[in-house]
Order: sequence, then C-alpha cells, then structure tokens
Amino acid sequence: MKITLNVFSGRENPSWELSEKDAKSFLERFAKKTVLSASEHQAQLGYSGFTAETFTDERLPDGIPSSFFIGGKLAPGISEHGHINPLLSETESVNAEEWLLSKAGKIVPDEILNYISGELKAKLKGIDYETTEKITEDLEFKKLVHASPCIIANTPYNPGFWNTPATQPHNNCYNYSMNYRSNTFAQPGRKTGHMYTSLDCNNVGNAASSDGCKPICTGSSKLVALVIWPGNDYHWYRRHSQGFWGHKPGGTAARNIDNIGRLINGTTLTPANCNRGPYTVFCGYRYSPTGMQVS
Amino acid sequence: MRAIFTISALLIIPFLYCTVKTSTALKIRIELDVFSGRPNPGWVLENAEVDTINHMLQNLPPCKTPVPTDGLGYRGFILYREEEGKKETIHVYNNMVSLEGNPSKILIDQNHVEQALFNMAKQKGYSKLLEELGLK
Repeated sequence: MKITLNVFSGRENPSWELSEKDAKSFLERFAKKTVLSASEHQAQLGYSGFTAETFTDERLPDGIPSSFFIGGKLAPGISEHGHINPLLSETESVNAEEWLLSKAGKIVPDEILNYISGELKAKLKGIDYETTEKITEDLEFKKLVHASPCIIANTPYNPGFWNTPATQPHNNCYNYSMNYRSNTFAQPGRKTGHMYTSLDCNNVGNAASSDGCKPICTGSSKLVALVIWPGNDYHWYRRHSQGFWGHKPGGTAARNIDNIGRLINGTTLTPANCNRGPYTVFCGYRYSPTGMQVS
Repeated sequence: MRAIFTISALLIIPFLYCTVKTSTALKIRIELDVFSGRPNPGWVLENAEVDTINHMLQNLPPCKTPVPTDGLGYRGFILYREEEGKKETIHVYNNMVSLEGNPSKILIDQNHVEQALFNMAKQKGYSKLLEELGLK
C-alpha cells in the first residue's frame, strides 16, 4: 500500500510503501468506519492529510476503496453524517496520521515532520491549522530528494489479479513486473517516448530506465530482473514479499514457477534456480519504484 | 446437351457459393505464441487457407488430458477466429486444440493442425526463429 503525505502544491509529495504487516494493521483501524474518497476530501495548501492507495494487485478488505484519504477536511457539501458507518473521530484520525508519519522513516525530513506534528497537535486542540505556518516548498523538496533511502517494498504474490479473461491476454511480463495493468501489452520506454530499438540488455534496460525502472535503488522500490533472448525478445521477473519470484510469459497466466515447473524460490535467477528457456542472457537486477506506470 | 449443362450447373453453383461464403465470412488470424515481452508474430490467413484450417478443426475428438503448463519460448499457435461478429480464440499446442470459453473445450489434434500451422510459419519467414528454439 502506497502512502502519500499531501503537503506540497507544486512539487511531488513524499510517498512510501507500507509493509504487508503494517498495511494490515493500518486497515484494521477502519473496521466499521467510513474513509473519505477523493471526491469527499478537500485539497488545500500545506498539510492536507494522507492518501492511501493501491492500483496494483494488492488485496483490500471489503468496503475499502483502492484510494482513500486520512486527515484533512471534508469537501464542501459533504456531510460527516451521510455515511452508513461513521467517519473517524478527530482523535482516531490524528492517531492514524501520527502512526503513518512514524512509518515514513527518513523519507520525510525532520523539518516537515515537526511541521506536521504541530498541525496535528493544533487539530486536537481545536486550532484552525490552516493559519499555522506553511513550509517553504522548494527548500524542503530539495532536502527530500537527497533523503530518499532504498526501501525494498516487494508485494505479495496475487496471480488472481492478472489471470482473468479481461486482463491476462492484454498484459505481459513488463506489466506484471512493474505491477501496472495498462491493458496495452506494455513495452519498455513506450510511456516516456524512448522505446527500445534493439533486443539487448543495454537497450531494453535504458528504455525501462526512461520509464523509471532504475539499476540503483532509491526510495520505495520492488526488485525486478531483466533477461534477454538475444535479438528476439526480453522477459522480466518480479520478486514477491514471500521470497520467491513471479512472472508472466506474454499473454499467458502469471505464475511463480519456471519452465520446468519448479517454484522460483532461489535468491538468484541463474539457470540452476530458474529454467528460463531461450532467455539465456541475464542482464541483472533492477528497481521499479512503487507507483511506476507503463504503457 | 442443354439438360446436362443445366444439371451440372445446379450441382456446382451451390458448392461454389458455399465455398465462397465460408472464405469471405470467416476470418482467421494466427499468432505464433513465442514471445513474452514483444507482441507475438502473426499473419492473417488467405481465403483458401481459412477453408483448409477450418476444415481441419472440425470433428476433433475430446481430450481428457489437461493442457500442459506453457512457459517461456514456443507455446504453439493462437487462432483468432471471427465469423459474422462472433469471435473465438483457439490454442493449438502439444497435439491439443483448446477452445477458450466457459467451459473451455480441449480436443485432440488428430488432423495435425499444429503441424500445418508450423509449416505455414516457416513459409511466412519464421524458420530461423523456430530453429533457435530447436524446432525444425
């Protein structure tokens, strides 16, 4: 589950991935409660709560939308009494917000943490936090960029998301590994206008880098690997949180077994651990940022 | 003489009509199911080829063996069959013909559709690709 701290207006907001255990714990807070959807939440300058979202194959409990807000204000015209289950109380909301902040690690610099903590305390005391001091966005963003440690955020294996008649034929190994269902049989570099021009490690790897999949880990990322059938094709694998690898050969079903039916359970993808058929050239491991999109 | 001509025409014309109708109404696109990242190579069958392949797909006996797990590399052929708006996807692999649907049907490829498509793929210029997979 991806968490975004809504605090900037012109720059990218800081975001991070919750571990499977933390995501479960987070969602338990909302049993028999209503969370705000995008249309019910009011965007504003400065701190305006957190967005929790999943647009991948992660499972969510019934009644929880794939994107929702914690903290912030209700949009104009939205009543807090118009839901079957009640909204979070002020205290419950602040507790959830403080808990999310505690899971941000070093992604959110201390200056921003202090600012948000002040806003939350003011909220509990009933002070209108719109009037409190706002951060200097550009300065803080620059600090943020330099403070993006590597966080491996591999997600659980969920083949059911991919293996349906509406999804399976239209998404390939690149969609699966970058965990983004585009229904376009995605190609490395196509989204960013730098599609590969030959089928070798450098060319396909650079095209994927253009889309955001990098050879170096920064920020919240999932571990993926690229292999090549020289001159003919490429293939990608994705590491799952259970410790094995998953992949999706072309329009066929997503799976966690190799070409001879073995669970791809080794740390590496050498032929001893993983029969790769004609994809004989191993290009190396790469890091796909959480939230990366392909087309 | 005229009677013989008339009788011949009456026999031949419906046959020609049926043949032409089948060829023009039914379209089949073939994919050589072999790639993972790139789209599979493929081609559209000519009318005469449509008749041949369609005929070979008729009256196949059911198969009780499950379709083998397909992986990286050669996975047979995918036929996209379209007739008067009705679309059907057929997989031909490992001496089996499987028709997608609910429920799906698995048939024995006793008419050697896979071999016919394999020969066609070689004629279409995919010999080198198939040879790289150890298929000749």
